[in-house]
Amino acid sequence: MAEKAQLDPQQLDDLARELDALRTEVTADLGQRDADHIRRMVRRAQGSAVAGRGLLMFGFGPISWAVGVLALAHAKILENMEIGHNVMHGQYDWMNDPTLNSKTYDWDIVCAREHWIHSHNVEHHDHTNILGKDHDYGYGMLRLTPEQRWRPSALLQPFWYLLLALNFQWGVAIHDIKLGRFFKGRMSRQELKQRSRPFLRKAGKQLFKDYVFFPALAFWQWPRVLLGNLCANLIRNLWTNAIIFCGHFTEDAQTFSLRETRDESRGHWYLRQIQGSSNLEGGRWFHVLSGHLSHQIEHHLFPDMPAPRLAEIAPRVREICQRYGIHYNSAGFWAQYRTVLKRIFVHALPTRAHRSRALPEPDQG
Amino acid sequence: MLRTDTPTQKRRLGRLIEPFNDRVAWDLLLQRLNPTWSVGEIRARVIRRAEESDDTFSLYLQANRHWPGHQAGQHLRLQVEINGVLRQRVFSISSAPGKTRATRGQLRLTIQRQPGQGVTDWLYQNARVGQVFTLGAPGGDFTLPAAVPTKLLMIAGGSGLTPMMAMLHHLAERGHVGDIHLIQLCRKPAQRLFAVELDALARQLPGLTVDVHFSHANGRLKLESLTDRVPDFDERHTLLCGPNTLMEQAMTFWQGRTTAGPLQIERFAAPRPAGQSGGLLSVTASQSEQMFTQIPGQTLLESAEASGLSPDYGCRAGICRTCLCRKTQGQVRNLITGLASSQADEWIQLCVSVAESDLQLDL
Ligand SMILES: Cc1cc2nc3c(=O)[nH]c(=O)nc-3n(C[C@H](O)[C@H](O)[C@H](O)COP(=O)(O)OP(=O)(O)OC[C@H]3O[C@@H](n4cnc5c(N)ncnc54)[C@H](O)[C@@H]3O)c2cc1C
Ligand code: FES
Repeated sequence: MAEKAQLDPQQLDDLARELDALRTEVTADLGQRDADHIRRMVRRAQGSAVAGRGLLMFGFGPISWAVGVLALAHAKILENMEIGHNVMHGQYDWMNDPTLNSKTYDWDIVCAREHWIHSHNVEHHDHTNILGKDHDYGYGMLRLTPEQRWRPSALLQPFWYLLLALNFQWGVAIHDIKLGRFFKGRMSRQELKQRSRPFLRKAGKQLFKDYVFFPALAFWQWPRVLLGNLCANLIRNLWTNAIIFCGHFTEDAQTFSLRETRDESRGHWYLRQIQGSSNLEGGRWFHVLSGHLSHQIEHHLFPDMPAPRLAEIAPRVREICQRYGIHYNSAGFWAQYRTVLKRIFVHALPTRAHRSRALPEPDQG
Repeated sequence: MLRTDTPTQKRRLGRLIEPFNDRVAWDLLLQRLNPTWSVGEIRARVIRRAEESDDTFSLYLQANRHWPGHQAGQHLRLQVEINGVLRQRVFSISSAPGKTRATRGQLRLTIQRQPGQGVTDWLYQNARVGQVFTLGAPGGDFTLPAAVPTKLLMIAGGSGLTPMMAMLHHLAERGHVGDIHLIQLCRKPAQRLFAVELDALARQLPGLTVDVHFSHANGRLKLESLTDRVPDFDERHTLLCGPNTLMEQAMTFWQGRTTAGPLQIERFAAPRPAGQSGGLLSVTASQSEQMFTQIPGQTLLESAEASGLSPDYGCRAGICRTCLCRKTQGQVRNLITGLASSQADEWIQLCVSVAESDLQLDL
């Protein structure tokens, strides 16, 4: 496992300056080609959705069904990852286009936009991989590092993980409601109701659309459409889950304690973002389908930079990391995903922290 | 049936039939077939471009069926995409309203290129036949009174002639016989707009006098001389559109002359704030959690834009109130009314306001 880089305050300041300069350079260059890219993606997602739903509703036989499912899954993945996620990060706010604005955009997924913006943009992006603060770390149900307390239920976590992966959109959707706090008695019923309202509204709408409205439009073909929509949602769930888990839970992705990150400087923040994230390598289509989260490191450094730019600056970020002796965690999809699965299995058992990195926590051992 | 539903019921129904009521999605589909098609947006294609002087040109547009028709003197909002960014500017329509369904969508804009990297400069260099633009609905109350006064005075400075052209064409079509005195202000003969068209209009409108004033040769128009220059000055209903300095002077002049007839004005731009001295004032935009400084000589809207924020706007001249924003703290001055707003929690128009203290805005 890679070690955390130790930089002195001067080096951290230099790192921050270099990365800030990189951001300024890209921001000044934003323009037509970025606008064209996101518009092209929107058209592509729409075309794919129309084709997919059309094939499911009006097609005959298993082949048109399978193609329809793939087209619809492709549309949903593109919409959730390359469009929704990125637009809601504000990557295209500068275009002044009300249809591509982070304040108004709502995506095709059961997760309500207001919940996601809070749990993802605020908690996860700012507190990346800080145990106890980044609630995306293990999604409140997985133990991925020895620094997390072991409970007997962790023994079943490979199974929990499978459930989460299959229902990932639901996992993301209820994440910000923080049910755990309710069950521990730290949230009133009233507050729970209040917090769940956007989720219930959004979930009802999504369920109705995919499992009532579109099937009904197909008359006697309704089972075909219902099943197709279910499969497309499943494919989307598995894919987004795999990509997102590869972003922060690979073997070399570091975690941080609250103590380590108190009074963090800008340079330190950048350093944590790099060390808590991992990249995936692949072709252009792969990056697009991952919403460029395959460039998780760059995305975490500059969350509001239009995604295709992340791929362009990646070699320069890598070069900067090399100069400062920071491990740049990047590998192919299967190589990274294997280490994620390994972590899920290994830490199902009561593992102990490596001695040199162990934190003095009374409840360990 | 829908009309009797309450808004919440409508919204609930709307949610259920999504995406079939998603206008943005339908527009996207339609525009693959034809860029002017839309379920609700006004879109128009450029069918002709004509140069009117060395820095002014006209765009003849054919709008889709969503164009509701305009009144002579009204303006519209034109949206352009410049290097990926959507920007809007307001332009007066310089053609008379079409009378039939077929001609209703035929519009002409006459645009003067302003120095700098603004929208008009981009249009001057890039506007071509075949391009499609999104438009806003017609607006503004710079229109002729319902009962057209028998004696009119029009004072048009530079491109301020555009709304008057629409009015003159409209009056000519109606066979208007009343007296119209048009004072056209331009710097030099080469910059005079619509010379040929005005000649033709003078032949159709028996009461029209075109009175051209070249400021380069004859100096600025002196408003005190209006009473000598224009017969029956006090009996006339005046329409004025031109540079801000002229408008300020005219307002003072009219206020000082109690016998003068009514004055109707159209502003093309917010008055320029005087550059302040003293320290830089900082503005906190609380919603976007950003700070920017009030740049001397710019409005709050321009200062916010200069620092990368993009507040909503329409006319940029204090007319449409699209830029309305809640000020939670501090004092601003409205450049049109000259009034200060110093109370917390007041609504201000960003496009015509400048900060007079540090501010906090709900932006
Ligand atoms: C009701 C209405 C009707 C209009 N009708 C017409 C019309 O028919 N034809 C027409 O040509 N225009 C018309 N305009 C004006 C038009 O909307 C634009 O404002 C104008 O054309 C300039 O736009 P721009 O983007 O090119 O310039 P902008 O970049 O918006 O600049 C506006 C003006 O301010 C100057 N300026 C910008 N920043 C500063 C600064 N910091 N200090 C000093 N000066 C500065 C620019 O040089 C320019 O002259 C109308 C405006 C209104 C409100
Ligand atoms: S933009 Fe129209 S009033 Fe300010």
